[in-house]
Amino acid sequence: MSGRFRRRTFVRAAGIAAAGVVVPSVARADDVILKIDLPRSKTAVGRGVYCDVIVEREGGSVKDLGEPDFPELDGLDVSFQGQSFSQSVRIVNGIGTRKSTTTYSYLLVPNEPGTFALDVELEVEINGRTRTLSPATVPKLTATGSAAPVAKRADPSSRPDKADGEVFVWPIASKKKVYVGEQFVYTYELWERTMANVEHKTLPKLKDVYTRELRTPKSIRSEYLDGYRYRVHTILRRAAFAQKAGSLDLGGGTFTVRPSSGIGLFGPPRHSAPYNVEGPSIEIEVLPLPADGRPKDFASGNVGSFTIESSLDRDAIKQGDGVTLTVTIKGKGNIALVGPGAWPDFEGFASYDPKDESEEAIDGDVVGGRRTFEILLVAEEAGRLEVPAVSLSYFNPDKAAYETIESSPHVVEVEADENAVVSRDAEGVEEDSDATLAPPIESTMSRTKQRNPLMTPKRFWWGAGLVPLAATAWFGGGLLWRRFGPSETERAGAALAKAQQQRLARMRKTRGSDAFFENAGEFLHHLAQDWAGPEGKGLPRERLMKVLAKSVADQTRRELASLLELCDLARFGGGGAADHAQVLERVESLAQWRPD
Amino acid sequence: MRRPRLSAVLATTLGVLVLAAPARADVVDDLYERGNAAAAQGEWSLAAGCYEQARALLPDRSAELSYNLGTAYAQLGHTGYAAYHLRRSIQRASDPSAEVVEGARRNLGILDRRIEQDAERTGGQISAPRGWWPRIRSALAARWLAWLTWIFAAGLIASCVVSETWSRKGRSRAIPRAIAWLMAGLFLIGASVHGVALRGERRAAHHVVLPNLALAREGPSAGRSVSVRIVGGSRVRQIQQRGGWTEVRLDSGLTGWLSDDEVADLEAEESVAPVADIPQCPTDR
Repeated sequence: MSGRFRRRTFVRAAGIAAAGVVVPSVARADDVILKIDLPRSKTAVGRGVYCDVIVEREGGSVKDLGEPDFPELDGLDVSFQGQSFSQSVRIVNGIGTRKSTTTYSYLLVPNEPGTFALDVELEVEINGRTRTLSPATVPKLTATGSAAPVAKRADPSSRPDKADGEVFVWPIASKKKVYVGEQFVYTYELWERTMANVEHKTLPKLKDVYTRELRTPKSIRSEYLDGYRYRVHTILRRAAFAQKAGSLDLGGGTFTVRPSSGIGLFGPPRHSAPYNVEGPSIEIEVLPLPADGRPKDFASGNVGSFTIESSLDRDAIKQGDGVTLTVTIKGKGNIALVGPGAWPDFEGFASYDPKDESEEAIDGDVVGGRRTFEILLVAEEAGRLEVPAVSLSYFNPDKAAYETIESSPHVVEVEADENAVVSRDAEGVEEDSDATLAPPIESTMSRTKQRNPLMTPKRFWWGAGLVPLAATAWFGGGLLWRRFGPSETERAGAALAKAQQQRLARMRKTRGSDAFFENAGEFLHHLAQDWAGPEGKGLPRERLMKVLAKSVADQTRRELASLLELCDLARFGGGGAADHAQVLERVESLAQWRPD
Repeated sequence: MRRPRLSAVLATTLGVLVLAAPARADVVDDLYERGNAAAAQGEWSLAAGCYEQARALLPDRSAELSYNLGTAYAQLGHTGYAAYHLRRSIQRASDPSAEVVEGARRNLGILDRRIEQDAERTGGQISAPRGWWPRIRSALAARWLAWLTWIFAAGLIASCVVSETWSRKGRSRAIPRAIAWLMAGLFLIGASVHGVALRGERRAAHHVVLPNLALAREGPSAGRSVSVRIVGGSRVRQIQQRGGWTEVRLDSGLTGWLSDDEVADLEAEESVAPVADIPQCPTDR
């Protein structure tokens, strides 16, 4: 009784424990709420505010599809700061509910005054259906004041002379006035003396300027202004070439300053809102290249200081052969744009478009290098042909004047060749046919039915995988059979026993008929042969008995001989039904004997 | 009385079925011809509109239609859309003619140069040029090698069965054994090569960026900052999809999230929406 009582108690307790595990995971209310936590609804222009978008889910069949979609609001910068996730399980009256919360943090920085409605949306999948969530109450952020425009500096090349707050940006141009295409150096520095994190938000806008990056010092230097020690970071340095005449406005970039967070002793840590620091733009005057004295062959990109030289790869050829004229321009300036302008007339030669290659080199802060042109000249006429000098006109901004220089001329001895064929028209200047799109096809539109192919990658892998499986089964099965299956002897013994049973069955069937003793005799003879083994195969009875004498007991042998004799006699006229039964019984008894 | 009514219904039904089929084909061909006429006049925007309508009505693929549509978009400067349709036109599933293949390859070559120039100008990222290995890989991933491998497998199994049968009959099984080994070797080589090629194809970049300059974000949201700018027409690899956004990877390893409508799968059958400002083809003749 007590045992049964204990068993019943145990079963009940186990059932309750199982329910405690199973039921909370089954009982769920699938719901999701989107909330926006905006600690401050008012701020000043340029001052950032942190905002959290919180997604609370109850139950397990709610799935977020992507992140909250923040509306695009003009005048408000939204930047993602990170996300966090937490989960909890609550059991009330035996019903458990799983709740999870995902918090997406954003930094909102208004760039202009106004009110911004934060109507965030989020797509979720609940029980297989997609829903778009919005907050129950749409919070609004109001930005007041206006970001005072940062005054342009009068002297773009000046250094700071007074402390301007904890963080300020200082762009510098190495020259106040430049000519179009003339190089100057643009440097962008951040001066700071704060513990806050300062990171760049936007780099300065360098419009209408072609720039090349210069080596920027990685180390931070210290400078003093009004008794304050500043750390000066060089953010970027560029070699710039103005492309247009007039006032060139090099816009200031923006930095974001994130003050250190305070530690709340009796609450969560406080985060001070970040704010932006905008750098002033600087203006330089870009002078147009003077019209007076401009050479006719002057190309607009040739501003700097250059040299020119030329060479031929051969000075003696046959008519119809070609020589390569190599013209090299070296110097300081925007080397990628420098060129001779119009090429001279190569009389007596057919000329082809030059191939050019530029190799830029920056020496300190000066951009320069070399540009090489290779022109193929094919001799059309025989005789002493002159390859004229190539001239280069450029504007030297240091001297504020144009200069024209020339390479040396060359002479080529061309031997006459009557078989030479030179066709200027056939291959003249190659058309840029590669830039023309092939036209649409106007022939009849074909249609191709989509078919599901018989062979797919999945079917291929299934089929290919079956082969090693089949091979393993084949060989493995054989190995197992040989290892654990019946031996040859056992199989032979089983075959013999089966044959014996068949003969015995035949004999039993013929009981009461004339064929009984014949079958009995045959059975006994085979039995004797089985006992004798391979030695007894094909032997007559007498010799068979002699073989059996070695392995069969005398009594058994005599019984066998007696039965054989009885069967022989009965076949030739003796034995009734009673004899059949007796003989059958004796034969069955004998058949159970097995040799050692 | 019932019989005439039934026969009338049957006749009407058959007549509708017979007449409806060619009428449907006419509409698509008509739009295609209108597109060609507009293209001949240099009205590429209208041509693209007609081709897009024809494509919307056509349940199957057409190499000529895809090629013409891609060419029209290329003329209009929509590099991404042009690259997508031109590449579709030369896929095996479109069964392109030699004329289509030649024209499409030429136009794709021009588009590739434009894409490089756009990258130079905008600082955007592009995919690396395709070398010879992707072509070889495509050939090795084709169904012919899969069928050949299966044939070798069947040969292997047959050789094993013959070998066992001959062994039981007391015959020498040297020949079937040798054949079995040969089939096994060929099967292993074929399966390995095809398997590697299939794996490579699965990981290959077969998505195309559609807008001329797509801003890929750091996360699946328009509020996230831009991680990489990708020039339209570049091939990218899809990593995952979430909530209307697709994470893609360039050959250089740079990753970012693009909106689903900014990237198209060359291998998928679902169609890409036309460019927003493409006009409708006029319906009157």
